[in-house]
Amino acid sequence: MAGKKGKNSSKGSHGGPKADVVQDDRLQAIVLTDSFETRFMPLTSEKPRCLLPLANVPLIEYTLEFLAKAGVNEVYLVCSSHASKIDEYIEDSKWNLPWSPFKVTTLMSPEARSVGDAMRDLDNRGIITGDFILVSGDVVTNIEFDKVLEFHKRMHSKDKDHIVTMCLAKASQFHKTRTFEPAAFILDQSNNRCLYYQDIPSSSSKAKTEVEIDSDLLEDVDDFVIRNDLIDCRIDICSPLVPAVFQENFDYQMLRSDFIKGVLTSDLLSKHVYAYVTEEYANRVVSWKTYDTITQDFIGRWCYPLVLDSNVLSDQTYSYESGHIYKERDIMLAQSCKIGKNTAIGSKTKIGEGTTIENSVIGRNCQIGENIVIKNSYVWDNAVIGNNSIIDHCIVASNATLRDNVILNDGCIVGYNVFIDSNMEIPNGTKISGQPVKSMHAHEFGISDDEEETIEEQAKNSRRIITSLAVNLVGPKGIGYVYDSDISDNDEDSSDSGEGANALSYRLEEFYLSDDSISSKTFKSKKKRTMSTNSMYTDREENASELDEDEDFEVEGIETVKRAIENNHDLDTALLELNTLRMSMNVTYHEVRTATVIALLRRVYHFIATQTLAPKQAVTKVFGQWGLLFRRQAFEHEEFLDLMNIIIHQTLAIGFEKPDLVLFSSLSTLYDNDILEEDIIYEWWEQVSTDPAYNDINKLTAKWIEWLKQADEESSEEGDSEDGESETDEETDEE
Amino acid sequence: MQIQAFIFCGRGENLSPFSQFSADEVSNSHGLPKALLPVGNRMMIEYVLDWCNQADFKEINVVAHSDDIDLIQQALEPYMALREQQYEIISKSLSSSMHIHYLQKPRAINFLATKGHSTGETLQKELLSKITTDFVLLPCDFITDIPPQIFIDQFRNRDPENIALTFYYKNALEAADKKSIGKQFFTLYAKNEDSESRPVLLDIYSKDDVKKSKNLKIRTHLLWKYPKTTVSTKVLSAFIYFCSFELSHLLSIKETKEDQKSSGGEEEIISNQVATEIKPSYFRTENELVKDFINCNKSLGKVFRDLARRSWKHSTPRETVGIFILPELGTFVRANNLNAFMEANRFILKIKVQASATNTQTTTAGASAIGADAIVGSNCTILEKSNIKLSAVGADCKIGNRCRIGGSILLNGVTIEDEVILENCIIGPHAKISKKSKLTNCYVEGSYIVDTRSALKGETLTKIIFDDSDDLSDDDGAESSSEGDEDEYIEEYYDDDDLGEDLFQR
Repeated sequence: MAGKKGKNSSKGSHGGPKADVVQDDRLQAIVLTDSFETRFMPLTSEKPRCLLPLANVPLIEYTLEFLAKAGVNEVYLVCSSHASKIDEYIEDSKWNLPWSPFKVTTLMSPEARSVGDAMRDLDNRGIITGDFILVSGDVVTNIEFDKVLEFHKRMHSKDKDHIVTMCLAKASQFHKTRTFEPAAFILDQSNNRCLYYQDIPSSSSKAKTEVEIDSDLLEDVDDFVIRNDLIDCRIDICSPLVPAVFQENFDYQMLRSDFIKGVLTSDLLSKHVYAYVTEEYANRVVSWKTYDTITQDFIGRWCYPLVLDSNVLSDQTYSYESGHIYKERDIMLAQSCKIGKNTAIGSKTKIGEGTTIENSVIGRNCQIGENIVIKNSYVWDNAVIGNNSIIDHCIVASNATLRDNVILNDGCIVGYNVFIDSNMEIPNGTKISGQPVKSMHAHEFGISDDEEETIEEQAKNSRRIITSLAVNLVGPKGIGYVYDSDISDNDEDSSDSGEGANALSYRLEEFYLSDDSISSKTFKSKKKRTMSTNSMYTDREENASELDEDEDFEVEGIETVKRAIENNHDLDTALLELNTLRMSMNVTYHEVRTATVIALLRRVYHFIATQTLAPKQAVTKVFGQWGLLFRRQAFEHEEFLDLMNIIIHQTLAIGFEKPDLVLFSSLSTLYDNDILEEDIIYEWWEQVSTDPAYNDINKLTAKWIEWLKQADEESSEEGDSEDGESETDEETDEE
Repeated sequence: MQIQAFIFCGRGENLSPFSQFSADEVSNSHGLPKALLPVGNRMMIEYVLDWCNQADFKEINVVAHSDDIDLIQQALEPYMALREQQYEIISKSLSSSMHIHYLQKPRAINFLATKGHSTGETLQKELLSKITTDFVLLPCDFITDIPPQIFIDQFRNRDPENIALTFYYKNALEAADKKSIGKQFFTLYAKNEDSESRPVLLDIYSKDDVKKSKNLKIRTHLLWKYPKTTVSTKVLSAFIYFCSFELSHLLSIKETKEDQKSSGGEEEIISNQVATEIKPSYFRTENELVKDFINCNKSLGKVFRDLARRSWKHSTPRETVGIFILPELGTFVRANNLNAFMEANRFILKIKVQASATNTQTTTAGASAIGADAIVGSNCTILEKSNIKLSAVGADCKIGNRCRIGGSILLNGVTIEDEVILENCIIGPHAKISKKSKLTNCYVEGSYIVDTRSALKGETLTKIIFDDSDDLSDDDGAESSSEGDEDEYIEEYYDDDDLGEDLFQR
C-alpha cells in the first residue's frame, strides 16, 4: 500500500497554516477519482477516467472547481487506477500553486477495488477530522454548496443520528442521465430524511419488479414521498463516522446499494440519512451517454456560472459567441466552412473548406480537412480527419487519424492513436483502440468476489489473445484493434434495458449496464468463448435457472442441425446458424453440443430404423461428415470431456438397438477425424468406465480404448464394420 | 345541479353494539341502523341530507338494505315533513318578494331498497340503471362544515381523464390509542406539483396487511409513470365519490360481463364500442375476486382503488381517479367507528356552544347543572345535583341524584341511578346504570343493566357474552375480531373493510 503522498509545494501554501488556526472549521473533501467501473473502456485503459476531456477540460477540473467554490480547505484525491497519471496532472495543475484555494493531496490506494475499499483505506489513514464532502471525480455541477452545508448542519443539530446528507438533483424520470442505475429514494415528506433506497430497473424493463419497503421503516412516518425523478450526483456530506461504518461492515462495496441501503435498513446502527434536493444542475459523467448529455448541457450553459468561456484552465482562451459557439484563439477556419450551434473549437485547430460542424466539440491542434461533416461528435486534441469524412455521434480520441472518406457511424469510439485508412466505413457502435487492450488491473472492475474476478480476468486474458489488428475496419494501413466486436450479442440485452438506439455508444452501455451482477459478467465471458473450467461451470449454474430457455434452444438447435443434414448445407452455414441461435438464446456451448449430438444420433437412428445403412456405416457417415461441427463447439480439454459425456449419455437415451456399437463407432469416427485426442479419451475413460450406469454400453468402447492404448500400427483392421459387429457379440459372451 | 346523489346507509359494523350489526342476530340486536344513530340528538343521516340540500343535487337517493329501508324511511318522516314545512314558511314569507324565483322546492328524497351484498355490487347491479348523469356516492355518516360547493367545484374542475374524484380527509383524531383510530392505510397519490394535472389517486394498501407481509411493495412501473409519488398514512377516505357519467358505462359493461359469468361462464366479450375501452386486466382482478369471495363482490372503496390502479398498470394511458384532500381548515368527521362517533358528537356539541341556544324541555330538579355544551332530549328527568357536560342525552332519560356525566352519549330511554359517574361513555337505549357505578371509556349496549358499584374502565358491555364477535373484551375487541375474518380473503393485502364500510355485508 502506497503511503500518503503530500505535495512538497503545498507546504508553502497558506492553506496549511490557516488550517491549523481554525482546526474545527476545516472542510475536507474526499474525491473518488476512480469509479471502479469500466464504462469508458477502451479509452480508460490508457488514461484515467477523471482526466478524459469533457468539452476540452479534464473531467476532474469540474469537481475541483466545484470544491473550490464550496470553500473546501483540504482535498484528498483517492486514486487507484492510473494513480501516477493523476498525481502528475495535479502536480502540474493550478491547484498545486501557492494561491490555490485548498491543499490537494493524492492518496494512492492501488488495492482498492470499490468505494468500500477506498473508504476503509481512508479510515486506516485517519485523515478525517470532521464532516467531509465525499464526491466522485466526475461531477459537473453548479449547486450552491453553502445551502447544502447549511441544511446538513441544521439537520445535524436536530438529529444526532444523522450521518450522511446526499445531494440529489431534481429532473424528470426520463432524464437522459438517469438511464444508468436509476434508483428510487423514499423520503420523509416533513424533513427529507431518506427512509429507503432501492435501485430499480429502467422504465422499459418488462420485468414486474417492486420497490419493497420494510414496514418497520415506515413505523413512525406519516407522509413520505417515493421519488424516481432524482439524479444522484454523488455529492455527499458525511460525518466522520462514515469511514468507520465501512470499516465495520467490510462487505460494503458500493456507496449507495451497500452503504446507504445498509445504514437505512440496519436496526443496530440506527443512523439517519438526509437528502437535499436541489433544482440546480448536478450530474455525473458515468457513461458515454451521460458524457454526451452533459457536454451538451455544459455547452448550452446549463450549469452557469460554470461555463467554457470562464476558461477554467489557465491557458484556455475561449470566447463566447451567440448560438453557443465557443472559439479559442488561433483557430484557422476556411472561408466556406460552417460552424453550427453548440460547438466549441480549441486553439490551433484547422478546419478546411466546405466542412460543416455542429453540436460538436473539437479539441486543440486538430486538422480537420475539407468537406467534412461532423455532427454531435467529440474530437479530442491532435486528431486528424481527412477530406470528405462523415462523423456522426462519435468520439475521436486524441492523436487519432482518419484518412479521407472515412465514415464513422452512430456510436463509434475511436481510441487514442488509432489510424483509419481511407474509404473505410465503421459500423454502428464500434469501439476501436490504438493498442490491444491489455489485461486490466483487477481494480478496474467494481466486483467484489474473487471468483468473479477470475472470470473477468480470464475473459480479459482471452481478449488479449484473440485481439488482432482489425484490418477490415481500419483498412490495410490502419492501426486499431476492436475493443469488443461481438455486437450482436448486445441486442438481446436491449429488450431488458433498452434505450433509444440513437444514443452515443449505446451498446457499450448496455454491455456494462450492471457491473455488479454476476450474470452480465458471465455472459461476457461466454461471448468471449473462453471456456475455461471456471467460467464454464459458472455458466451452467447460471443457466440452471433458465431451464425453459435451454429447452427451447434444444428444440431449435436440433432442428437447425437436422435441417443442415437434410438439406446438405455446408458446415460453415450450419455453424453460423447454430452460433447465431446460441447467442440469441444466451446459452453455452454445452447446450450447443448437446443439441448437435442429439441431432446426429437421431439421424443415425433414422438410417438404422429405415434399414438404409448398417449401424456402423450410419454412424461413420453421419459423424464423419457432421462431427466436424464439434471442432467449433469444443475448444478445450474440459469441453471435449463434456462432449464425450454428452455422446454417451444421449446414446443411452435415444434407445439404440446396439448402443455400445453406436457409441464406439461415433467415438472412433471422431477420433479418426482428429476431433478427439487420445489423451482426452483416456482421461474420459478413467471417469466413465467405472460408472455402473454405462455398463451396458461400455464394452465395445473398452475394447477399443485398450486397443488404442496398445498399438497404433495395427489400426487398419479394426475399421472393418463386420469385424466390429462380430466382436461385439464375442465381448458380451465373454463377460 | 345535474348530479344525482346516492347515500349509502350501512349497518355500521364498527359501531356495534349500538348499530344493527350482526345480520343473523337481528332478533337479539337492539341496535339501530347506523344512519339513525344520533349525533347531538339528531340522526346522522339528517346531517348528510342537510348537506345535500345545500348542494342542491338533482335528486337524492337514500340507499339501504331492504331490511333497513323501511325503518329509515319511517324515521325520516318527521325530517321530511319539517323540510316541507320550512319550505312553505319560506315561500310564504317570500311570496311578495322579487326573489321568489330563487326559491326551489326541496329535491325529492327517494328511498331505494337493495339486496346487494356489498356497496360495489349495489352500485353496479341496482343503481346503474337509474343513473342518467354525473353522480355522487356518499356515506350516511359524515359530518362536516365544509360546504358541498367546494366538493362540486373540485369535481367540475377535474382533469378530463379523471372519471371520478375521491375525497380524503386528514385524520384529526388524537391517536391516544392506536387501535381506536380504526384501520390505517397507505394512500399513494401523485400530487403532480410540477405539472398541470391535478392530483391523482394511485393505490391504497392497508397498514395491517403491509405489516403482515413485512414490506410495502410498490411496482416500479408506477414509479416510472408517477416519479414523485406521495404516500400518506394520515389521510382517510371520506367515501365521497364524485363520478362522471362515463364511469357508469365502465361499470355497466362489467355487469354484463359478470352476468354472463354467472349464467354460463362464457368468455365472450361484448364487442360494442365501450367494451374495447375496458381492459382485460381490469376484469382479471374482478374475476379473481369472484373466486375468492363468496359474496362475489367488493365494496366501493375497493372498486375505486382498482380504478385508480388502472392509471399506472397499463402501458397505454387510462382514465385516472382524482384525489382531493380536504383542507384542514374545515372539520370533517366520519362517524364510522365508536371513537369517531364520539368525536362527531363533540363536534356538534361545540357548535351548539357557539350558537348558545338551549331548547331543552327537561324537568330539572334544583341544583342540577347542564352545561351549555350538553344536549338533553325531550321528556328527560334529571334529579338533584347532577352535572352534565359535553354530552348528548337522548329522549326519555332518567338521571338520578348527584350524577356526573362528561363527554358521553346517552341514547334514548337510559336510566341512570344515583351517584353514577360516566366519562366518555356511550350508553345504549334503555340501558340501566345502577347506583354508584363509575364507568370510564365504556360502551354499554342497549337494555344492558350495569350492577351497582361497578367500576369499569374501557370495557364494552354487551348482552350476548358468548358471541364470537361481541365478546366483552377490551373496547375494540368486537371490531378487531370481526375485521380479522375479512383479512384472510382479501387479495393483494388490501383490506377494504373499514374503508369501504361494507354496508350490507353482514
